[in-house]
Amino acid sequence: MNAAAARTAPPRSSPKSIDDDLRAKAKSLLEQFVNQFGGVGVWGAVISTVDGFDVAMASMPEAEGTKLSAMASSISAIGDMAVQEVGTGKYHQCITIEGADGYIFILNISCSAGPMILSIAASKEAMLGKLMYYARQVVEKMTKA
Amino acid sequence: MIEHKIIFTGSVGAGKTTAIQSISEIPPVRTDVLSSDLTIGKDMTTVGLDYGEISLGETERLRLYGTPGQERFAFMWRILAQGALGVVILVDHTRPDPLLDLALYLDHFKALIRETACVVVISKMVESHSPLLEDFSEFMRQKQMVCPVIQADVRDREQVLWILDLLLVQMETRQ
Repeated sequence: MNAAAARTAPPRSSPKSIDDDLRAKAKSLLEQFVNQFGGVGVWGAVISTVDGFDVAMASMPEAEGTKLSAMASSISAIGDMAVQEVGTGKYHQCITIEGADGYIFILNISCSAGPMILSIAASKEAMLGKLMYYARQVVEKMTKA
Repeated sequence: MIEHKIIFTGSVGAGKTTAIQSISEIPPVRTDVLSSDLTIGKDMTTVGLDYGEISLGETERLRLYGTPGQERFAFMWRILAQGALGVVILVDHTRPDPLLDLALYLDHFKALIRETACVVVISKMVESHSPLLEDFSEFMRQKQMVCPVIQADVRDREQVLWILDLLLVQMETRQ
């Protein structure tokens, strides 16, 4: 097998430490979260492990959620380092990336099954206060999960 | 002060973070997090980048960047490759198909390897097991890529310095 073949069929090693119940809970929390906005402002959301595997996603194509999980894990880890370097804490609580047409928010979750990350994609029409309020509720509920 | 950027890439668990830790003069910046992937055989894995520094005499300094190993972080490979003057590819000999691992990094970093310096390092080498060191060299020849292929223990500072020497020799001859 050559490298090109390896790329088309990557060994998709999914984390086994996260059980189906937790995945289902994460999925239902994300769906509730997205539905709260009735299709206005919030495009989609994904919860991932800190090493970049998706745990659950809502309103997001799977390929996008998988890619965003890996990227969010890198950004989140670098965010934690920056926070520690400057002395503003041990972990970041939220990283905001603003694009021309929308936002990506990345939040840390200290879940007992292992640390995780919540990533949210939103448009410029999103009500940011409301979004952050419900996002933090998802974080809190996942922390207790 | 002249500064050169060197990147350490290669298969997961091959010792990229360890290699930088072995030689860095500053406490290395690390972004290793708890791994949820039971197939890689370790608790922590780099998801962002590693960063360390080492001086060469009074006038030169190497900035050492380590990449994540897994291909899902290939976007970090592209980011970290920018402006690099040399690449060290570490291959863990104990993984199921080390030649396939090597092929992945040769493919992704081929532009950098062609234009700059490269050393391929086989780590955790079990000498009685195939592929042998010459199999890796032969594999490189088939890919028409010319660079040193060595085995090393990256926990040992002297051996990592030797890897850097092999890179620097190539960088000087290319200048």
